[in-house]
Amino acid sequence: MIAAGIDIGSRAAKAVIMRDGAILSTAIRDTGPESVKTSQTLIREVLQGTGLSPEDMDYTVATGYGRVLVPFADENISEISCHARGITWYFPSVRTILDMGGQDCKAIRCDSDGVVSDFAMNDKCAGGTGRFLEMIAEVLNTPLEEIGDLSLRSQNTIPFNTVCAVFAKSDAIQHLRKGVAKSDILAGLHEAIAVRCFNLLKRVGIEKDFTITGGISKNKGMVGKLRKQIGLEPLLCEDPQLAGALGAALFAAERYRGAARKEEARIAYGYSDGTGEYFITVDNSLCNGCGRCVPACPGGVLVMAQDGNGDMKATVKETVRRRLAFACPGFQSCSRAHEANCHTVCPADAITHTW
Amino acid sequence: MNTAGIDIGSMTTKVVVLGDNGVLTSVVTSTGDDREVAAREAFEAALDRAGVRPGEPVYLVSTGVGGKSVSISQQHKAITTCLARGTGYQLPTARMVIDIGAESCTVVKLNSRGRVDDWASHDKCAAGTGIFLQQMAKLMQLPLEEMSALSRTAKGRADITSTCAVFAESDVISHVHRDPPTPAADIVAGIYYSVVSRIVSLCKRIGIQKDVAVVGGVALSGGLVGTLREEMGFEILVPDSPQTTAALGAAVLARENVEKGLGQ
Repeated sequence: MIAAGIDIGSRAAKAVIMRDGAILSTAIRDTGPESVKTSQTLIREVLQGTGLSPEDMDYTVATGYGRVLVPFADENISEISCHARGITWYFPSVRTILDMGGQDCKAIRCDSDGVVSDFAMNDKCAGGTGRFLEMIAEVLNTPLEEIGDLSLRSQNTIPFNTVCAVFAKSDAIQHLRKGVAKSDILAGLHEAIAVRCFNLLKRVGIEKDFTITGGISKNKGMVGKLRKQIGLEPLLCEDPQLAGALGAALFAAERYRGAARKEEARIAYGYSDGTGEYFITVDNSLCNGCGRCVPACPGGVLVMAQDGNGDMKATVKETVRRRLAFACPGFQSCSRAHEANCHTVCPADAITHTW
Repeated sequence: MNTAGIDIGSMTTKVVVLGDNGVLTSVVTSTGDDREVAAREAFEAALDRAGVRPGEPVYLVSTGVGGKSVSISQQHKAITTCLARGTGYQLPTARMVIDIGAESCTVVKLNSRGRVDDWASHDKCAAGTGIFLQQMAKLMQLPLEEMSALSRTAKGRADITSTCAVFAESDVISHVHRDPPTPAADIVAGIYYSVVSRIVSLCKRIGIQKDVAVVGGVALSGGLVGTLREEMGFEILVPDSPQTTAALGAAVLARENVEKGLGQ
């Protein structure tokens, strides 16, 4: 049985092919502007030398930011589920996952079956994402692959009190002009990101074992700072960037066998920035799918959508996730304005806010 | 005795010299790398322009992000206090002032005596600040002034869903490359909306109270103030030379100190 997992991330596209429970072949390439074309090139690339053709796939699962743009996929599954699933295949003892991608950063908690029990995501702010590191590498005129190693050579870490990519960039330029070593600037920036990731992880609770996935996990400087900040030795698999695609392939194999998936529990949508924490948490194990919260929200933030098992659950609309604090006034403000809100109408008490 | 206020911002340094009969002069210079040097130069230029003879005593109050690090001032005051005094001096009816600077946004609510009642600010993220506008202007290859004029011709508003300046850049680029491309005026309208929605949400946190004044360098952008007016749904006051309001407030505080006899 041949199962394919395709992970179309914001910056890199990954594919894993599994035959009878073992990894047959993997591939990574840039996503580029046209995800549909990329997914087609990617599948040909990953099958090269295996003697297989795209038609031989028994089941294909697509995941990642561009998962809906994979025309040959049998199913789409969120990257959160896939990362948890993929990494627990390597390390069944993992309970806490930090996924550091090109344009977002996620903290995931899971059980021994790789089922997500709690999850928090920052996809609004570039601070702590691959984009941030790319910008910094550009300013310091150093290849992206080398900044992590360079930061390890630092003698005197320069503290940065911002993770805003724009401010960090101008601060870095100022330090450079004053003759501060690149390694010291990089060490400071890596530390600032580690602090931010630590705060995101604290939202879901940190439990042993801990792992880092996504492209940034290949940056040794970053891993070092995270180890120090969190105080846990991260388990790193062979290629942590492939964890999402691997999870997708494992799901594909499972679906082909006809097994059902266990339900995900709590999902926290939102972000934190200099002004505060903005997370809306939906507890899927409590949500009964009644849909009353959708018309009740004066900001129109919620929508009912199918989860992995095909049940209808309340979710935060994808279009407002990055501007949640503006779209949703917070239910205290709603209550003060004598308006019904998601919290008061929910019979199961499944929705909570941080503000 | 003459009094003066200096507001050392992340991008520009502002000095206002106050004589017995009102403002003598105001100066705006770029801050650069060394705040101490920038402050000294701006202060000397302002005294020279105000016709203050060298050696004549001037009581100086400093404020702004770099205010504390400057040795030439007699006293340092919080930016919120200076904003309150400066706005009170220029626009006595204002009960709320929004200061949009290069790297921060501060909102101050004033009580009926013009004193600080409550305030909120954000300075850890570029969204909703002048830098955000500047980056977008660079991306659109438009000078800030032209951007402002262009926004008035907008027929719609491009959707810029990202708040982060870095991600908003990608949004703008995808609008430019769309087929057919989104008109530049609509993109600018979207950019202004992105900044304004951030500011309005900051105001809402402490409660909006009329009259509302907007100051700081970004208040010079008519297009942005227009968008703010639309979103608020009422008239927004903009003082003359809004960029120097905090420096003016510092000068007013310096005057109060002198009147209390502190300058002797």
